[in-house]
Amino acid sequence: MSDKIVIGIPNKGRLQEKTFDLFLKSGLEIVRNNGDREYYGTIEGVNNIEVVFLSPREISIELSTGTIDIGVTGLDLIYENIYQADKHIKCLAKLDYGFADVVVAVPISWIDVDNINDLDDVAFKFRLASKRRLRIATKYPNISREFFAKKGFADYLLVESLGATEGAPAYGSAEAIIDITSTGSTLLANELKILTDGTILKSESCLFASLNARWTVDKKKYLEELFDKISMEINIDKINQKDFLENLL
Amino acid sequence: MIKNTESLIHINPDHITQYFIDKGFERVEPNMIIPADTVVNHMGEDIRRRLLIAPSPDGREHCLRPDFTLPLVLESIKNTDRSLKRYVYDGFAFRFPTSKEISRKSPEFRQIGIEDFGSRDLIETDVSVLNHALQVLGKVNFSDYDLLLGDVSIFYSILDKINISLSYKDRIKRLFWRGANDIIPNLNIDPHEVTSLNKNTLDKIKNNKNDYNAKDLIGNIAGFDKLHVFGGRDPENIINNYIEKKEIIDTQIIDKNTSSMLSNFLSINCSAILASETLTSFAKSYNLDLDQEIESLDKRFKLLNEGKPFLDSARFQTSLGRRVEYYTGLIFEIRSNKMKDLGPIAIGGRYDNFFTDLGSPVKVPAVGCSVYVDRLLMAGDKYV
Repeated sequence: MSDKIVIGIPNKGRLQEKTFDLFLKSGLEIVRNNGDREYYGTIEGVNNIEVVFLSPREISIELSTGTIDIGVTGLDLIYENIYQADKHIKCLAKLDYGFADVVVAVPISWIDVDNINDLDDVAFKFRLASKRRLRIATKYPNISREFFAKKGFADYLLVESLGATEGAPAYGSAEAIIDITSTGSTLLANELKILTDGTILKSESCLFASLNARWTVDKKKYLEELFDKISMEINIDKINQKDFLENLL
Repeated sequence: MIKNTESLIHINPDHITQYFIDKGFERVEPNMIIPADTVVNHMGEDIRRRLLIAPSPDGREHCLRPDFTLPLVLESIKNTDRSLKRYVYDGFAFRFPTSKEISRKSPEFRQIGIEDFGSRDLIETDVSVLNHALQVLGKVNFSDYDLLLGDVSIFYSILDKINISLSYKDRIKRLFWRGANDIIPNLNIDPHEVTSLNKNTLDKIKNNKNDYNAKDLIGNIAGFDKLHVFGGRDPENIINNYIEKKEIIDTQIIDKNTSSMLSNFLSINCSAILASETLTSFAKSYNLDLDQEIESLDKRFKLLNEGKPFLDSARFQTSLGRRVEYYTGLIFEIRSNKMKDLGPIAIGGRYDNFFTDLGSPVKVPAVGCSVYVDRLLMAGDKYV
């Protein structure tokens, strides 16, 4: 096994652009050797870091298994895809892009529902009247269940959504949704509103490290070097960083 | 019986099953695999992550039974034979344990239990099921337990008797089932929480209710020309609920007397022999007529005590059975006296709405009791 650090970088879209920019500002050019279809890359002039291009979701999962050592992905995906994430993943730095909130939204027409307590009330009556539970469509079943369990709300059924979640109440596959939003315009276009206490998670892109990866002395040194290079651009907490490096196995 | 010798006897769960068979219960093997959506719809989304789920080729999810009552009731609904059924089951049910569970780490756990479906003599059946549960623990020489008794029907009767809106009663029931420590502070709505409600809009609705169609009215209140998405709800119903909510905010409906009455009722926790006395003085101090309810409780407790007096050691708790919404009457729990962290060793009660909730066209009175074998063995081991 090569003693290089493996970093997961988003394989397309705005998250990739922003990540490329960030590294470039630190003097690190990420190179995709054979064009857009290549899954492996390098950083110009750095030979102890290997780049793999993965979807943000894959990055969260590979971080949890330790297949990759560090990676850039969204906080929402970390919490959704990794059970007890804090035991497996460490957030090294928030990157100041990819902002989005995971929220509970209901139809604007539900003028009697402003918060979770109201939703609970309506869901309860809905179940008594129809003998079935209110359906909530989401791509975030784990985050959703945990959030509602904390709120003591149980009268619902999650419907796993694969595509455009916001449309579910309009075409009748669910009554409400839990989804990600940044500007709120998609919600509005679908006649949905966010509950006043319905913001589950404020997400953004972060640089994460896997606590399950094999951290050799060399790799720790390379990570420290990488920190030194990019810490001008991003706000890595120095104490946190030292603490982290010392505690890695 | 000499207490010291009990510790030498190893508990054999098979004797429990045999006892029930000897008492005339029919041994059944309910389906091991049932549709996951039926389970989740019945027990709530929270249960899903504790289920052992597998997808079928057609995309539907199935799961291993999380208990025995659900598959038994589902099978009984299909059965057209409506005669009285008395079943005993013994086998594994499947749920991933919660972090609080100390008697097992694996998802499968053995349950032995009985169901009585269709007995019309409600009092007699309540008593007989609980008596069987206690007898069977005696059979396996387990006596180191606490017995807790409750009856949720009294709470429902009180709600029926107090003069508050239906919508408010639903709210109270909901909080009762959630097991909220203090229902009352959660009952009233903080007006600051409400974004879309003010007096003008309410007047607007009340004045215009008949002139507008509901959809336009909602759009008007929400500030949109035309709304199309109603999330499966009837617009009329949305407006009525909106008005009710406004009224709750205006009046903060529950008066001091009612609120202290509910709090006091839910904190009743007394020796079972004092239950009717305690309830009588409670009813008297709030001018409630609970004679019928108390009489029915008294009858059952007297019958229970006939066999072998034990009520002096049993507790009566009005808060028992909250969080388990399907109970409709008597509830009991048997807990280890020494191991307070261990979940109930046996639990049982009456659930008369279970059949209709699962789609039965007719109401079937049902009482059951289930023994958690792993907990029984663990508590039994402690005995040595």
